[in-house]
Amino acid sequence: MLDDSITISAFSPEEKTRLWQDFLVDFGLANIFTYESANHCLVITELSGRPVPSTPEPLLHIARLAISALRLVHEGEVYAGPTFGELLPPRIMKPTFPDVPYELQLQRGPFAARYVLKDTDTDSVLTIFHALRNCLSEHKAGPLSLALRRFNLSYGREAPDDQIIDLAIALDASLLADADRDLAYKLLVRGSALLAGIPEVKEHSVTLAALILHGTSSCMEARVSQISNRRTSSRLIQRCY
Amino acid sequence: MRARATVRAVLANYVRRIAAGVTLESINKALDELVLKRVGA
Repeated sequence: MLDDSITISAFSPEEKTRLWQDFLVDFGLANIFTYESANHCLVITELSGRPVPSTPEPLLHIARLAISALRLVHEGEVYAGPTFGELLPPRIMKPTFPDVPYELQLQRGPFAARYVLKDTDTDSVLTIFHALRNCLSEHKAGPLSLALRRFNLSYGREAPDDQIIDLAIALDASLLADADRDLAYKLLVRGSALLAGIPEVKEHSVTLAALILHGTSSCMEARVSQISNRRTSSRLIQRCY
Repeated sequence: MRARATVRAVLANYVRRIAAGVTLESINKALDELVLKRVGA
């Protein structure tokens, strides 16, 4: 339960079958997602007592927060955007389950490991979800908007280079948000200082910095060379798009 | 992917702190000061 109106719940076998049958009937998505990939459902029963919104934006905002929270808790991919977009108009008027006005199917992304949500994750997901709600307004971009957007985008990239670019931009938008010089140095020391108390990622902070500064492939090396020469970080990479 | 694990940890850290009312700039400033303190500058 994320709050009084939003729940992430596991599908029962019957619900799974019914939901999947609806997908097949309504949208013919059989070729896009496998049956086994759908094992959790983000259920939005009501938006703080408000009536059904005339636009999907409030729902999409909550969905983005919930998915971001899940992704920030541990590895694995949850993915619901396209499904949600496809389903929203008819589903508002025609819920799959009689007592559930809205639902989002959380699925495995095409390029990432499966997300396994455990009972022990509940507190972490709740904490991050509410923190994200405080950080990111529906109508106003927060200080971490860009970083979180690029972090989320990295899940949809197939090529490792593309993933790294998204992740580098996410780091730039957070660790280097206020920096305009000594970017490589600040990336390293701020990242290390921030993660110093987290054993499982302690060595990764150096790894990622090294990855960005020295590159792992020819594609990255060209960009990394630009980074080093021009004193810019992934802002430069961003311009390469 | 190890790089993503690192970015995940960084962002989760920022999200928690910003939600507690700390600004992004002040977090980074505190990190700079912490590093200076550790190296004895």
